[in-house]
Amino acid sequence: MAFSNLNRHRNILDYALGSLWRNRFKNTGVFLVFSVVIFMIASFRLVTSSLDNAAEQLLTAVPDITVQKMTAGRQDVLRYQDMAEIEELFGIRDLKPRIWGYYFDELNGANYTVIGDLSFDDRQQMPGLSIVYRLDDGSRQGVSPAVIGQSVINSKNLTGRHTFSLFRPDLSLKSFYVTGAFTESTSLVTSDLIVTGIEAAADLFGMGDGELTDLVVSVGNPTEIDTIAKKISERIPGSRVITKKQIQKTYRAAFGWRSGLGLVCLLGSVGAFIILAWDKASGLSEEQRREVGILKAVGWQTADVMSVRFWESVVISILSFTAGYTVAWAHVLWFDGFLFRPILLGWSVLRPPLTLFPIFRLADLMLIFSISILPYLAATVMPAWRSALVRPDSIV
Amino acid sequence: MITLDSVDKWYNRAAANEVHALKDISLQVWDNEVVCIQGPSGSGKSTLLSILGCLFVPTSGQAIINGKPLSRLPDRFLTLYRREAIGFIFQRFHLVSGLSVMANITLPLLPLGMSVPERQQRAERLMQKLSITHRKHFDISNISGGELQRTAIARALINDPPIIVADEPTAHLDEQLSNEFMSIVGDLKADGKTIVIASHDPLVSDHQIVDRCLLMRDGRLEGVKE
Amino acid sequence: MRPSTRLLILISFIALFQLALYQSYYGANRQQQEAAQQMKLVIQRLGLTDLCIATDARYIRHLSISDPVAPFMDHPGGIEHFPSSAVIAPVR
Repeated sequence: MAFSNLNRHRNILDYALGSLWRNRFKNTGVFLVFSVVIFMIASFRLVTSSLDNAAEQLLTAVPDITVQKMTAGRQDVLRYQDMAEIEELFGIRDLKPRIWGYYFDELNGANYTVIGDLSFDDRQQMPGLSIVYRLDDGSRQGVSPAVIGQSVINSKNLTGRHTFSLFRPDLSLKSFYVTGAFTESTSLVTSDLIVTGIEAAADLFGMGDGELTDLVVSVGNPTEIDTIAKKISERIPGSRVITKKQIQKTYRAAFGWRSGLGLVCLLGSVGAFIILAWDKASGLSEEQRREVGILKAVGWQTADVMSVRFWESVVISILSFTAGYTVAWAHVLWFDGFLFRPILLGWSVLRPPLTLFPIFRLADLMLIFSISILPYLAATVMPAWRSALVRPDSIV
Repeated sequence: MITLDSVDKWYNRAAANEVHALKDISLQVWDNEVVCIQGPSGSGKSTLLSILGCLFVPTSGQAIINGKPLSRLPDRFLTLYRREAIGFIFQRFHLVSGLSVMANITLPLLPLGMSVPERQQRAERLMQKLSITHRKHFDISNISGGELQRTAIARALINDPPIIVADEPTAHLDEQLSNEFMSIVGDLKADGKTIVIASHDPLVSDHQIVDRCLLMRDGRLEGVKE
Repeated sequence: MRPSTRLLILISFIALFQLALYQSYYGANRQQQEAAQQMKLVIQRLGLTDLCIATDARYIRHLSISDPVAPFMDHPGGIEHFPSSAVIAPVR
């Protein structure tokens, strides 16, 4: 009995596939449009999830606490005295002063991030470098060693060259010597960086003696981060204290905005497609009506005819889903999601060579399934039922 | 045996376009009988055949086919019964275009869950009997009128039904094919089938194989043709 | 050949392609994990706080530690990078 039932479904599936093939031009059109819709949504979700995942994975290593100074609601410089105010706080494992800022390169319109690191020394190995040079003592006169990211190399045409200059605020030139380049695989965090010593950075930005942009605090016990952050904000009036948790939350929110907005726009295309599907399924041509009449006349039940329509919808939707999702996966894995990157990443003069790595999330798969296949099946159920009601005597 | 007792059929009852297609029809068809129903266009032949072929039930009256009362049978059970007991040959054959001869013949067997070899075996037997084996993989749009007719007959016989109903089977055939059709009817009678044919073609109604020819006009049976 | 058998073959081909995709993914995953390790070391070494995704506004480059968002704060033509702010309030 069970075997016969299985055979029955297989026979009806055979008939449904034959029916799809007999109307192959129309059905190929539906398949292609449906696949493209699913491809767009899936690509979008995969690009978003890859950025989400990258942020989640990498930002576990961000500083426990970052301290900045605010004056009149705008960022201001800190001083070494501020550092002294909090050095003694119990629970702080390490405290590093830092200068970081932006350098706008007028020649090419690019922004670089300049980091002045207290313990920067080109004679010591820094992680993530592909090329390393060491300046001999004699060559250090008048130049500051710097380690730079891939986008900086590209925008300043430093392939094969080792020196470059940047303008100080008084328009005098400050020279740098490239002692290292970050690898392309670390571009997600290093692409636009120029890392140099803290004095060199202060010199470049024309900052006064003892001035800093922020302090990087490392805490011994992670559960104490919020408590210590509160104490720091009390000790340094007007300070802005940002914890690791807040940084991670920011990223979750940022990609959530953009991807949510993008998804809402794409839902419009899904809606349009469902209307198309309904329209296509509803219109029963004379030929289709006749075919159903014949089936009923030779002994097919209404349920059998509905099974045919059901299988047709299932085959088209599952094949479209599979095709769309697979191509989306290939689009992100092999082609870095080039179609949707600009939407999620925003416009930029410097295009960091980002390698996006898709992450499989069951929730994403279910989301795409439920906003594509389920509405499509629902849109075709009513028309399928109506078409199955054609009377057998209609052909007599 | 087929029994109709005071059968009436209305279309669109109580509506502006109501039609009283059958009026108080009573008839009996015995097992293994070949009955022809003759009448002009619009006399209700097709409606009568649809009731005999279990395509729908009468509005009033009794229809009993092989002991089974069908008058109040719901659609689902009517279909099941039609599947087992009736082979219908339509006026325009009504084969599914785009399918092959074999696929058309085995169409009634698909929802029964029959396996492919079994379906093919049954179809092969019929195709051989009707001499259309050489066309089994041809699309029906690529075969002749006579071959279409025989395909339609094979489809009607695939479930080995005891009753065959044919609606104007020779309407679109020439004399030679019409004679061929009646020859097949003779074979079916020899196989023990009961056959009811609606036709205004004298080649059919006057054929020697026909046991009785009933005259029909304006929804009523007027008597037996002499 | 039955249509359903052909469908099964098609599905098998798709499954094979997906397998190839997965193989590629698996290989890339290892590389990506290594790169992630490197990046974490750089982040820790330099105290970095943000991913370098776009560099054309400080509140894009340094999402988490730049000033609160204010349109036109950089220059008159500097429109918002987050058009969604027109309809969605910032997350607290």
